[in-house]
Amino acid sequence: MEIPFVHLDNLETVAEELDEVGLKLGACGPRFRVITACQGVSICNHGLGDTESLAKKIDERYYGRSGLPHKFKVGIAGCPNACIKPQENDLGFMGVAQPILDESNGAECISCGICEDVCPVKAIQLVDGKPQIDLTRCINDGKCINSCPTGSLRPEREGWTVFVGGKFGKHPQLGWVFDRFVSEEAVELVERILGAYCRLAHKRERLGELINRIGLEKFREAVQSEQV
Amino acid sequence: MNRSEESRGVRSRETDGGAIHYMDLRGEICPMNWVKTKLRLEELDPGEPLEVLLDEGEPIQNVPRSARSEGHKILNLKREGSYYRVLIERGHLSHGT
Repeated sequence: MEIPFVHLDNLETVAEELDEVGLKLGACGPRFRVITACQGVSICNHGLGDTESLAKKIDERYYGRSGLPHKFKVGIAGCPNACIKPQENDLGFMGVAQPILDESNGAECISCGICEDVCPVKAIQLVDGKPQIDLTRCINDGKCINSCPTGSLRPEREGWTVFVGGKFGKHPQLGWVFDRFVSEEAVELVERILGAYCRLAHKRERLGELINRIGLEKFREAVQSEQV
Repeated sequence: MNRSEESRGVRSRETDGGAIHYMDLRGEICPMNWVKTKLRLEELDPGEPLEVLLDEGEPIQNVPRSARSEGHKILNLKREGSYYRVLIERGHLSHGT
C-alpha cells in the first residue's frame, strides 16, 4: 500500500496513526524488505505449507533490518503453483509434499485413478489397481494427495523448496534451488544465508549477482560454514 | 432415466440394497456442486449412500475431498468417459468440522 504526497513535516504523525491500526512503514533502500506470502494451506485448496506462520517468524526477526549490501526480498508460496513467485526473490520458499501410498489406518485405496488423472507430470500410473509413483518425475505439488478421496495417499516428506538469488528489475533472473524439504530449520537457514550474503557481497550487489560471481557451490559452502 | 431428467437434480431410485439417493452434478460449477452435495448429505441418515455424477477436472478433485474432510466416506469412484460416478456414505457427524 502506498500513500503518495505525504509532506515530510507530517511523516511522524502519519507513522503514529498507522501504528495505531497495526501498520508499519515499509522498508526501502538496502534493507530487509516486507515479506510477501500467499495465503497457503489455511485457505487455499492447493496449499501445502503454512506460509503465514513462516512469514510471521521471518517478519518478526528480520523485517526492516538495515546494514545489508542491497535490498533483500523474501517470497513464500504454499505450493508449486508458486503464485507469489518465490523464484523471483532473493530468498524464496515453496511448500512441497512428496506422496506415498499408505493404506494403514483404514485408508484403503479404491483404485479410482484420480491421482493418475490429476498429476500434471504423469508421475503416477495405476499398476494392479494401485498408484505407482515415479519420484524422478514427481514435482511434489501434492495434487494427488489433496485429491485422493480416501486419504490413502499421504505426504511422506514435506517442507519447503528453498530458492536463492532470484530477482526482477532490469536484469531479471530466477533463483537457484538451494535446498529441498526444509522444515523446522527454515528460519535458521535465513540467518545463515543472510550472514553469508552480508559477509561476501560487495556494496549494492544483490544475492543473485553475488552467486553469479562466485558460483552456487561456493555460496553453499559459505552458508554451511556460517555460525548461527 | 435420460440426461435432462437427471440434470433437473435430486432423485432417488430403488435397488436391491434399498434407496440410493442420486444427483447428477455434471455441468455444475465449483463450489455449487459441493454445496448441493453437502446439503443433500445433511438430509440423509448416517450410513446412507448418495451417488453423484461429477465432471472431470476441478469438480472431481474437489468434491470427494471436501466430503471426506467433513467426515463422509467415499465408497466408490469410477470414471465413465468425461465424468465420474461417486458413491458417498453419509458420515456420523451432524455437521462438517
